[in-house]
Amino acid sequence: MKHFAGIDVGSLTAKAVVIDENNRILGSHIMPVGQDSLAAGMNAYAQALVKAGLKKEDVAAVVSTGYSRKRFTEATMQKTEISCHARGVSVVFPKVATLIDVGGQDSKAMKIGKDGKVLDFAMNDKCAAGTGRFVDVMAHALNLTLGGLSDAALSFKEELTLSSTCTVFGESEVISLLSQGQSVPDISWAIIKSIADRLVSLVKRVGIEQDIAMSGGMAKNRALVSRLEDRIGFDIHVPGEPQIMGAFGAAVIAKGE
Amino acid sequence: MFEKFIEVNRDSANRARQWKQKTGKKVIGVMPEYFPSEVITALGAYPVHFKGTQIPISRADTYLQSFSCTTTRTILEQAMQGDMDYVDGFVFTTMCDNQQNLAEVFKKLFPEKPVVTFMIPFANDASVRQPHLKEQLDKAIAGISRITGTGFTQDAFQTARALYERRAALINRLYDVRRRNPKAVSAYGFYSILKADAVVPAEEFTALLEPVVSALENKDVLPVEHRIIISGITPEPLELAKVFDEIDLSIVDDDLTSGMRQFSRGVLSGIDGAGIDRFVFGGSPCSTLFNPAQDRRAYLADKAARDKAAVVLWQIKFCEPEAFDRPDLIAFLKQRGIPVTSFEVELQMNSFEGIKTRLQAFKEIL
Ligand SMILES: Nc1ncnc2c1ncn2[C@@H]1O[C@H](COP(=O)(O)OP(=O)(O)OP(=O)(O)O)[C@@H](O)[C@H]1O
Ligand code: SF4
Ligand SMILES: [Mg+2]
Repeated sequence: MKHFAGIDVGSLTAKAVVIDENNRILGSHIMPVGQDSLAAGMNAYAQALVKAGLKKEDVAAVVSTGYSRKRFTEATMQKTEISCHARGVSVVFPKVATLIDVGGQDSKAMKIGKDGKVLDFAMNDKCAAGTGRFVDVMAHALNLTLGGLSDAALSFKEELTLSSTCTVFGESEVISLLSQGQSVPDISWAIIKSIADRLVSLVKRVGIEQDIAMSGGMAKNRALVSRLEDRIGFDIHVPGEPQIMGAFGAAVIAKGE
Repeated sequence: MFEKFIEVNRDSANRARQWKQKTGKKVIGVMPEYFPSEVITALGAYPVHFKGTQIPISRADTYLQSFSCTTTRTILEQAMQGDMDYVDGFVFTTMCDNQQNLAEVFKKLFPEKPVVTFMIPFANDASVRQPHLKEQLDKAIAGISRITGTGFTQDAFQTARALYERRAALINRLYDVRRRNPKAVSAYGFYSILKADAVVPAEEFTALLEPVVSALENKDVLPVEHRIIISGITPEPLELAKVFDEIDLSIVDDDLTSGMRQFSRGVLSGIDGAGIDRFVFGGSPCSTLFNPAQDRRAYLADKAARDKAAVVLWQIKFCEPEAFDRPDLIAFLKQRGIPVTSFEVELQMNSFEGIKTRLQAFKEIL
């Protein structure tokens, strides 16, 4: 049996996945990128191999993706995370027609055709609003973990609105809301609403279909997914481990090559 | 092959100072398109065009809002930092609100440098535009004459015309080579040439370019995988052109104000209403011009279909004319089945990773 691997080094985390010929995930690993993206990617790959009980020599082809994809000279091929997330998610949900990938620095919306082929896509511009970074900064300001912010948001009582979409101004607004005595759940929900609104306008640019899915680390934020479902009006499919979908798709692409 | 042009771009202010000294001519700064350089040359001056640079902005923001385009903000910064000390006077065209505003700021900040404004009308047809444009041209000629101390003569104009005709013919040959054999010239090389044209006097430019074009014409034709038309105002920051080369997206043609839009019409035929109207409005459609007789969407869609090319909208952030066109343009192209993507840049940007991902993803879906 042949094996394939995908390495996805994004702006925040490095992900690696090892699969077999049937797209079965044998091992995967997620770790922070830190200072050295190449080292982080190689480490994540090494860990995924250990979990799969394999060695580098057992892997027939590797595709690298993500922000630092070009640094992996060992990879058979480099592909953008847009193609990889689309391919990965389409293996899990073959009917997927619209996909949202929200990571630490970028958010992307894709229109997907047969076999996970990307027909159109839209990306956020340079700023961090509408990305994981925005939530990370806000969670820090509220002294919450990422999961904690999501849980808090889901137990909100009163509708608040953040007036600034900018991360820097948003942070000071959150701090001033706290000092005004607003509750942490209400502020958390306001943060989630702000990022969800940005994402909805991004997905609208490629068109929203009923078979919609979400990947990337931010798909683990249950409050965000729930808010997006309300705004969009459809259930959003979230894979079991959404954060590794880029690396998984890269491995599937490696198999095809 | 393009080294000479790249060198000029690296140090354009000093080059311009040297040319000024060598020729002993007065320098007219042109902001930035749609005024005929042949007129400036005929009036005995040396025209230098300003289209924005990568200069970090520190002083200009006192006068321009941070949501003005970086073209105008970096032009003002250049002027405030003394990079335009050698310029004797300016011609501003009113191609957008930002330029119009910039002209007023220049008048206030540099009262010793005369500013000539060339108003481009918003009118429904040529018959209404022509008398207005003729009047504007006459006023501009008088204004420039006052700066240079040289009056207008038909002889000098015809000589200048001939010179610009040779230059335009050469640039059109350059475009033709690229259409026929896109791999003959890198995007970075091609636009380095056009960028240098803003500073190099027309005679020198023609002399420099002639051997380059001939050499390119003799190159073997190579197969092309992904054909691209770029559309927008000007391909700045120029370094970004290297991304197209790196990921192998071949630019086969452009729809740029500082590119094909100005070379798709001839040089100024004469100092009359019809001539100047043809000069300003006779090229391919432009977001900065109001011309109900043209439809940029259909023009670009037809061109892309003919060239079997995809379209990349190279947008400068806060460029209003382009921003107004964009949504409609994208929808129209998509509806006609033409692959299209867009990105926004600021002139001082120097990291292009995000745009690279976007362009590579675009290539992957082509
Ligand atoms: N358990 C969790 N709960 C909620 N959010 C989470 C969780 N784990 C990660 N995230 C979010 O996921 C984000 C990182 O996602 P991901 O790993 O997909 O980013 P990336 O691929 O490095 O970035 P990019 O694709 O933008 O370059 C973080 O910013 C964080 O907000
Ligand atoms: S970039 Fe756009 S807004 Fe700025 S000067 Fe040029 S045309 Fe005007
Ligand atoms: Mg990612």
